[in-house]
Amino acid sequence: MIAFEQVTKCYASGQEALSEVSFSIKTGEMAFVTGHSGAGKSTLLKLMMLIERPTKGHILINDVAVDGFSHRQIPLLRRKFGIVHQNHQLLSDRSVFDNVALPLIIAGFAPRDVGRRVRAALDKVNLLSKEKQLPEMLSGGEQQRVGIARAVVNKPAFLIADEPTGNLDPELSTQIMQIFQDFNDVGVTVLVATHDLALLARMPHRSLTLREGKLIGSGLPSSSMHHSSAQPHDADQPFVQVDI
Amino acid sequence: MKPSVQAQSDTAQSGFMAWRQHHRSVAIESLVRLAKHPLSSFVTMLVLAIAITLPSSLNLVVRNLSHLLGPESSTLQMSLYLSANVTASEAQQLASQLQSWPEINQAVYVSPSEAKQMFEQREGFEGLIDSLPTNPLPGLITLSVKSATLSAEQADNIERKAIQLNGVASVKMDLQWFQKISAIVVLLNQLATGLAILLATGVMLVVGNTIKLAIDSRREEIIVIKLIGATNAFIRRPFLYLGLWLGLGAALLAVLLSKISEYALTYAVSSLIDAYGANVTLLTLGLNDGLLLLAGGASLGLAGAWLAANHHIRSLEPQ
Ligand SMILES: Nc1ncnc2c1ncn2[C@@H]1O[C@H](COP(=O)(O)OP(=O)(O)O)[C@@H](O)[C@H]1O
Ligand SMILES: [Mg+2]
Repeated sequence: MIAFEQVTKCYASGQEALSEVSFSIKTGEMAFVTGHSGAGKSTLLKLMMLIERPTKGHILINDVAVDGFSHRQIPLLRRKFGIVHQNHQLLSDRSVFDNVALPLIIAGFAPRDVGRRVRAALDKVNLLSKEKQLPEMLSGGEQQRVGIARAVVNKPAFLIADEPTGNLDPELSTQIMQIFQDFNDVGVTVLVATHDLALLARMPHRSLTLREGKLIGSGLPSSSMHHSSAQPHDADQPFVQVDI
Repeated sequence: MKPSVQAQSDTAQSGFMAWRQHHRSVAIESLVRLAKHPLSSFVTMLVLAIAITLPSSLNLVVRNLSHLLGPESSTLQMSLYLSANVTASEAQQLASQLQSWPEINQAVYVSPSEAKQMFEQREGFEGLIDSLPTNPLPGLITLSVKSATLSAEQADNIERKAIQLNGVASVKMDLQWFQKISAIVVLLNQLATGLAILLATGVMLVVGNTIKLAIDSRREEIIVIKLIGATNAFIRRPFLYLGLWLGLGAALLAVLLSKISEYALTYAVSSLIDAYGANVTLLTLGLNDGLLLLAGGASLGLAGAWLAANHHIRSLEPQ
């Protein structure tokens, strides 16, 4: 569960990026954050991971107010999130395998578990054959999939993506969105920021629409049929095929 | 929240093993990073090694000085001049009385005629006393004092006690040499300590600067792993190992440098000593000294790295 209560964010420059935003996303739900460039989408996602702190209001993750977390508490909070960036943020001097393994090494997994989980995550995004390559040897779509594999390898409760399809053509974008949908289907809470309205029109999920920092809508697209995500969240399910 | 609970129990099971494994791989990785730039790593270590060698060599010089010239090997000499009316047997008695003092090594009575003989052996004084009607030289007692742990103040005390003895006219003490040597040794010791503090600070600054450069060159990586939940301790670890290796490597080089200059010095000094026919051995850098240098170098490297890494890693935050 992610909830914003009357959250306002003013940057040091005086720019008010979010004003009094309140919403709540249930565990197991998938939702979009939309709005024009500069509307405050990235700010909203950064606040959840305490990359920025709210100026006013509270942010609850699983009913815990995290906005007052100390520096020491931040790393553990961030490990609950898998994050996918527009520019994928892969380390260029490490292989695909090593990039995907990072969250596991940070969390202190034993080496044999690391190998098993990394291959399961790479298999999930169809990149098992590229594990030894460097990121720059891959296409843009493949790099983004490596980013997704890294985001999900630690089986996070939340998958957060900021313009994950921003640099990709429509066909690849649809592919990437389908991968997010697959994770949501097995119970991961997914939140995707995008200004690609055509893409989300085809998906039956709620969108939080921002304009100049204000939340102006949080409804379902008109054509939607309700998507069922009521089944309980099972941690091991994403990698069930590989784990056996 | 099930996934993270799952992850935590997984972590707990093999937590310590994984932690140790991680330390080992980070330690090796840091060493490999050093080896990737052998020349600059070597130059840095050499600079650090020189900074470590200087005070440790000076300390060795001081130890040698006090060993060779200090109170342990030289004895403090005192001459007690006796009044003219003291007979030879009274003087002998006085000498054996002095001999029983705990501070006194040896007390020897020199009769006026023996004194005259000694005096006449000096160049240019032959026959001088014979030309006088009577022998003007008084009898005297020469004392050598156990001066291994003697301070100038204690030496003064002995002098004061001796002059109060019956039959002693005056006391002459050869304190100057003794005082000069101890003053020089004390001064050099202070110099070595001051230099050690100064250069230890220098070592930490040099290591800190190297760590800062290493952090700068990996800033993107640090920001990315902070974003995915790395703790500061995790991020700091490779840089602490880097500092440790630098300090340890520098200390090894310092031991090597000290040994080389020691051989050169021993060679030079031994020809000097041979010329004087003295039987002297120099104190050299021992096993304990070497281990102390290694431990000191490693801790300085670690401390410098810790200070720099703490400072610079905290300032790198994802935007
Ligand atoms: N670090 C920052 N400092 C100052 N202003 C910022 C900062 N980040 C974003 N902003 C401003 O806040 C507003 C919202 O930005 P952002 O959240 O990035 O929007 P979006 O992701 O929807 O394009 C913009 O006007 C932007 O200029
Ligand atoms: Mg943005």
